[in-house]
Amino acid sequence: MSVSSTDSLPAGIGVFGGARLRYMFAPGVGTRLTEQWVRPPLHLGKSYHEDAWEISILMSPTAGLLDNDLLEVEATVAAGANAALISPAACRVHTMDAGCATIRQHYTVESSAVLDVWPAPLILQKDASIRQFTRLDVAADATVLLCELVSPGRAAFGEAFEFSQWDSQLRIYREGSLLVYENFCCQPKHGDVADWRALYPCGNYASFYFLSPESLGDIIQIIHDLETPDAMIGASPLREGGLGIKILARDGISLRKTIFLVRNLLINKSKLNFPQALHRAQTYFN
Amino acid sequence: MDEADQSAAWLPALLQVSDPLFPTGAYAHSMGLEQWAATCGYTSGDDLMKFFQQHAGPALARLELPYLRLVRDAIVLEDWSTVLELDAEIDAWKWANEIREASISQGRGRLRLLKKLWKSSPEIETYADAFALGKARGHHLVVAALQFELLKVPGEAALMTYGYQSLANYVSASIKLLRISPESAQIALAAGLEQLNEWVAASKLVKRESAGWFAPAFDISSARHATTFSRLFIS
Repeated sequence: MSVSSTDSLPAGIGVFGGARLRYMFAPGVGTRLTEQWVRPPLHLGKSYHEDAWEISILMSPTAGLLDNDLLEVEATVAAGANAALISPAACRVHTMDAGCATIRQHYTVESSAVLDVWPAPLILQKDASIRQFTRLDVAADATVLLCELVSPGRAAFGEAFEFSQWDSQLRIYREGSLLVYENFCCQPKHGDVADWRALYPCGNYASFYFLSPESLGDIIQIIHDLETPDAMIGASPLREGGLGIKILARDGISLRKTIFLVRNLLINKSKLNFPQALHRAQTYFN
Repeated sequence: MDEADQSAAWLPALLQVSDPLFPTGAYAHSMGLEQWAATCGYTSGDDLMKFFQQHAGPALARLELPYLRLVRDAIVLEDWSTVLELDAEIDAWKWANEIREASISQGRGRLRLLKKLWKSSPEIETYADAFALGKARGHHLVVAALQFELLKVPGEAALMTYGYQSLANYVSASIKLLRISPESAQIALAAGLEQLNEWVAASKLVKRESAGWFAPAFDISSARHATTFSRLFIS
């Protein structure tokens, strides 16, 4: 099943952009991006290689998403390949009179492959509406670090939870079997996410899914010990291996610090050689 | 109202399976309330009412009751592949491991007893076989839907009963957790039940593709319960 809607675009669409990428492992060479299709406003920066990885920088150089814009990202990491998709700048979902922007993502990670998806935050501005559909298909012996960051408004403007609607659906399948299902419609004006707002009225949110064939040991306790008054963090084992991690932080700086710590813990736990670039904290939230 | 509507032949059995005496092990679980009450500093019946209003009620209306209805509809149609699909979805949206395991533990306990009490039910038999073979997860919502269909409880009464049990389970836990009096607990429960009709009505409008609920702080708190230094409840 694909999350792609390319073949049946809705009427009255704004801008339709996206990327379709395929990474393959070549013996003696490492991972290479062997197929790519990119459509503005998404832009794929020149990929670089480090430790047999291919690291791609995916960004939207335009102002952000407006009503009825559609972004589609489809990436496949073939058996044995190591790829990372990162974005250096936050993606703003702008104020809308009506309508809704849509982001569709579909990642496939084949046997023994590794994928690190580390985007910058999605900023939900006043009166913004966004629908997200994310699907991840992963082989049992693959490793995935899938991260999502959300800011509920423009902190510099004192804006928080003034967006209209944030719909999100996430499905993770391991070997074809449904492992994780998140599905929600969040409308702060109707009292949603009262729990989040009660703890951190302007707080940021991050969600991680870490899938690995490695044993997790006592990592949950270690992750929970990272909690501070400025960042609440919970980790829970997934059925038959892997972890889900959620973080709420008082502000962007606290979230960034916590993500940095969590990522490095997970990278160590994966027993894989992640490139130095993926150990560094990104510059967003500064 | 016709004669069938007026008949309450299903009521005694429903009271039996809904009674706290019915041994599903629910008493050992707070379903996330223990850690959440500690996180928020809950101390009173008013806090419990706020919890019903902001979390338990909306979660029932937008997630649990729609799934209960969907599973029952599939059972009525003998559409077992959909029942198992919904069971797997329930397993996948229960993010915190303790909450997921609590649901399975209570489902398993209820299923075992239903099998003993209603030996000739083909629906119970079919699902119990799937569970034994590892094809079903055994979530409490699914077993509750089987039970309501077995007892021919009218649809709305089934949703109300499940809602009542959920709220009552939180109330039962709160007496120990918040050190509130049984009277305060009952006042909080009554306040929740006043709104149950509204939550049940809202749940009927929720389609499968829209069923869902997002409470990240509650999820985090439920996950953290697994590593707390001391606790009263399993979940």
